[in-house]
Amino acid sequence: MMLQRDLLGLAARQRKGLALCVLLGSAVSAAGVGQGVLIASGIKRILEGAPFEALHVTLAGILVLVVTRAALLWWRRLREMRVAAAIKHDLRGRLFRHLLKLGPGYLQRTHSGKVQATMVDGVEALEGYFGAYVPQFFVTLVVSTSILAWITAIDPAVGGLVLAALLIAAFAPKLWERWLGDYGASHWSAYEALNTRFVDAMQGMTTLKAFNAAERRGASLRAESHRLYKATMAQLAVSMLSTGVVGLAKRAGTALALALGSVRLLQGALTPAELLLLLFLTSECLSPLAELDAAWHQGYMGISASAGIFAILRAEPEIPSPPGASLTASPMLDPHRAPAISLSEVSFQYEPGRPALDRLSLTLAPGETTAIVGPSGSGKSTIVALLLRFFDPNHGTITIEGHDLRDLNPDELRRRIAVVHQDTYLFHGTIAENLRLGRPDANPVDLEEAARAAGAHDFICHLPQGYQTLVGERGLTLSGGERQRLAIARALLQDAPILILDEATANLDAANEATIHEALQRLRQGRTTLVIAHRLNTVAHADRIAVLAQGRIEEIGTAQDLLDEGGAFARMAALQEVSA
Amino acid sequence: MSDATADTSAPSLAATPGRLRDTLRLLAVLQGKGSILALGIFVGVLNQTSVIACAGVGTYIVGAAITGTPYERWQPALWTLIGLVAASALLAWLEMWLSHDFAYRVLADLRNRVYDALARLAPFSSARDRSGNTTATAMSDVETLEWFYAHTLGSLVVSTLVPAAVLLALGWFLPVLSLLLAPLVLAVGLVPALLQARARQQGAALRHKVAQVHAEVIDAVQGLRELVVFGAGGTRGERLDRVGHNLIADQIAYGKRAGLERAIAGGLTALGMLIALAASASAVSRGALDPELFPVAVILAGAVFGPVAGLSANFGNLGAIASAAERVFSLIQRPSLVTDLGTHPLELAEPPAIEVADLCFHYPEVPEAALSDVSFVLQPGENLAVVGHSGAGKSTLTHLLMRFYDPNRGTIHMNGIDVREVPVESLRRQIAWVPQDLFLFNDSIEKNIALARPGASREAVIEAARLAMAHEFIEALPNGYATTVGERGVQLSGGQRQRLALARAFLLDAPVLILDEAVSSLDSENEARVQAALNQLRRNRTTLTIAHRLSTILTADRILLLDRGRVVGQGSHQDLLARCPAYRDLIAGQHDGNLGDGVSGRVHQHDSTESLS
Repeated sequence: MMLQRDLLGLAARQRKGLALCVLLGSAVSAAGVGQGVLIASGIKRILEGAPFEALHVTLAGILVLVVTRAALLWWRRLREMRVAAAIKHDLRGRLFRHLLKLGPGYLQRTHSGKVQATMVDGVEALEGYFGAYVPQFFVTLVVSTSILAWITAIDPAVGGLVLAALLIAAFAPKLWERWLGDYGASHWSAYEALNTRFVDAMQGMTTLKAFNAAERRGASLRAESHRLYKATMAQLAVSMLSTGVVGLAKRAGTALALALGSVRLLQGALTPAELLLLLFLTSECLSPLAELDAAWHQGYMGISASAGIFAILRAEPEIPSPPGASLTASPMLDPHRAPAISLSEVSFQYEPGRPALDRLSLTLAPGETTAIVGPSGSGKSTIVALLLRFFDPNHGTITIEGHDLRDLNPDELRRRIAVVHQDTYLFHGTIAENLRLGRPDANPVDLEEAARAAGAHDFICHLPQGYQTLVGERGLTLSGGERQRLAIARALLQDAPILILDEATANLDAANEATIHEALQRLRQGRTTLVIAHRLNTVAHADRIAVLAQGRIEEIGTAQDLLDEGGAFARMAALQEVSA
Repeated sequence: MSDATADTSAPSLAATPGRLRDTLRLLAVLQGKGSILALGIFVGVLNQTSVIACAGVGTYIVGAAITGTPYERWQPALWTLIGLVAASALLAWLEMWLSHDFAYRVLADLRNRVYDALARLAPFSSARDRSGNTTATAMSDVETLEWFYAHTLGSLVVSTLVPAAVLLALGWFLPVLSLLLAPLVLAVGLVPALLQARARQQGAALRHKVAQVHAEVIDAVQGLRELVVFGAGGTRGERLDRVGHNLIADQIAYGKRAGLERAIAGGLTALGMLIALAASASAVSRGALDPELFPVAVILAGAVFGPVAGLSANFGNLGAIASAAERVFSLIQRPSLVTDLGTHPLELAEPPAIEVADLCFHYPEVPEAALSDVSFVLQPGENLAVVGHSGAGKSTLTHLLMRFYDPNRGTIHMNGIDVREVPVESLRRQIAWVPQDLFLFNDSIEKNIALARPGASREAVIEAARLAMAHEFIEALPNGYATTVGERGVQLSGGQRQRLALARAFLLDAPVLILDEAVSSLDSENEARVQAALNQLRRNRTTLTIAHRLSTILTADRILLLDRGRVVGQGSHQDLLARCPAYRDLIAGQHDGNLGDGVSGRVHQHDSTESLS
């Protein structure tokens, strides 16, 4: 049972709160000791033959201490709760801010479910560690040592015995600690594995039922659940052994100290008053350790969960941030002029040996619309991810107006790019809040104008609360087409010189596509635009079309050029019956 | 677990109101595990008694030594004490282990019941509970209940028995002391009960706030790309901060109450000692109590409270436990929507005829009917397209055909046999179901395809994939058929997912095909392949297709038009164009091959298949 230095580091901002918890905990013990001292003196006086009336003052003193101690107990519990809550709160914020720095690229490479689990369950698991274990650790240190010193002053022999009990209780569990760590990890991973499989099966329950697989999957979950039970019990048998040793040390320590004290009294080394005092002191000296052990029980889940937390906090961003000085000195892009964008010899791979882009070169002329077509997996979306600097290319460079992307402040860069993704994420919040994402200060008139241009105003007006309707996972669910129109409106509001349409009109229906095409047509004016599409009629009006295959450009030119050439584009066009 | 095995205890318990009902429900799970619980309680009583005996004997020695009792008289007590200490350490370990073993057994059982409940209710429960509550219920609520089974249930019994016994023992040598202490002991036990209503309320409120914060965090992680692209991370961080602060306020309120309970329990215990000191001191000075036993009386009076105080600490969490229990049990006791009593297995060698007559259905707790008087006949091998706006009842119809639900009225016959006479499992073996959006399990591609036929050989899986035009792209994946598709299949394109769904259907090779056509548009290459595979799949099967594309409608033998749960048109495309205005409107709204049925990607209240998360 020791403290984890790196974990404690997470509580740096709550050091004062933790200190107060320790102070209150020590005060509770002090009040307890005071009660014991008074009770002992009361017993002594009665045994010496004093009349009952002589106890009045002592009894009144005990009553005061009883009330004081109860109040201190209350205050302590409250402080502990507050400190743990504040630490969790701070940590969630810290994790989120770091995640922002790591960017979407990090989530693409790791399991986003794991990140979510860490930020939710992992952080919660720290409650017991900071709310119970850490304060109790210091309380035990302060209280047990002080009382031990007192006991030793009264009688060194009894002091030695209590010290032995203390040392056994404190260090015997160390022998198990290594095991405990391992079991803690195995329990946590078994729990996570079960959680994943459970959620997976529950989400796919309809499919399981349709294929008569619900029972089968249930049986395998039962097996998994049995494994979790086994792992947990194995871990508990070990952690309880240490609890048992602590309990033994406490019970044996108290009982044997009294027995020894009685013998010392016979020898004349102790007075009756001192023995009575020891009766109360030994138990107050050892009880914080038992409480510490109980707190450890609550704390170790947090220790196991901390691995996931540090994995996020210690992850390096996909894109190295430039040193502070060059960030402020980084070139600014003109917000009103469509820039030239150039990719030269750009290669990128998500994992070794599987290039997503392979020495690709492409230039987007200022104000022109360039379309990229190609089968799924050909690297279209990777180009978008690189332009937005979710990743940096492994080889080659991307420049805007001649500035290497790596020299630009990423926030500045992204402010100049408006993107419409195919799968638009809507946050839980109102339509208006979602539209204002890129321009928090946009007024209602701007909102409505953008929504009209995107063909979204009419359906928004038909929603229960119009622009104030709650959407997202926990609100109203919108159709793919509706979401996309919101995304377009959002991009219109942002009003940036670079426009990226990543399958932006894939989910639209007839009534709206025409209007939106018109809106997009207008939007493209004076902007450098990149259109990614698989429906060829949406790219027919592009200034240039690049056909992508396996991370390379297979052919490039105007629609008419490509049709005339009779290559890949012409074959695709034949399948879709599109004419330029 | 089949669909029919709903928890039969539900109706009788549902009548008992409030907390009593929840407690009874918690106990109802114990069946078959009573002996472990009893053993745990027995060991618990021994353990607590040994602790108090240790204190009593130890203090007796002190009292004897101080009052000058000769050593020979208290020497046996010394040996008794050492024996008691050893025994109590062992008992403490055993009690803890037994109570946890018991708790985890019950928890495994509860988890399984939650799973079974979902297996019974899906897709209904999943469509109803879209906020992700079902998953939260299953996992974290079940964990919360651990507290009840491991730390509350057993100690409730122990904490009642042991103090009662000690009070009796005290009464034996000083009756007045027992009489004075009894009300205090009772008060320590009752204070938490008095604060119960508040605890319960706060527990529910706190969990709600926690869930809210978690939802915000998840929202931010899932929308991280948008936040970064729009530079809105800072604003979102402030928002997280705000909801977090709200939570802290609630946590403090909760802590105030929980802390108060503990303080009162601690105060009453000390007060008990004080009273014992006064009462026995006065008894000693009156000569009514042997001075040797004076310290024992004081220490035992304090020890009486030990077990009760432990109990009240547990009561503090009862609020959260009750809310968790409420959610878990409301789920696992919800009865099935299907009664699986059929005894005639269905073995179809040829595509069957399906006859649907006067079908009516409404979802529980939803007033308006999802289907009203729907009748139609599917001839053997016929290909029927079902069309209609979103919410028209198309998916509900397929769910009834799959027997996810039973109709409120009307019948479905397959080759003249009422489907209710067929065991559900046997019926579903006759039907290949191709959902609109394939759900991929966190498992290899091969296992995902083989879901339909778990014993299928690798060759059979590959053959099915070939027929579904999926073999090539699967081979191109990093580990071929052994590739595990990531979270909700993010690495596969829409067309690839559709072809996997078709591969599954090819592998099952069932005589009936129910197909919910995907609406998301595909690139031309995928489009052509999916169409080719589909045409192959429909051959020699009785097919019902929920159609969103004009091309699909045109290849159907017949078309059924649904509107708000009713059949408003039935016949060939030309037929309907000529005489059904609603159909004309629907077709007129089509664009680029897609119907303007408002279905594209929308998740409906009840038509969704798997929208649980």
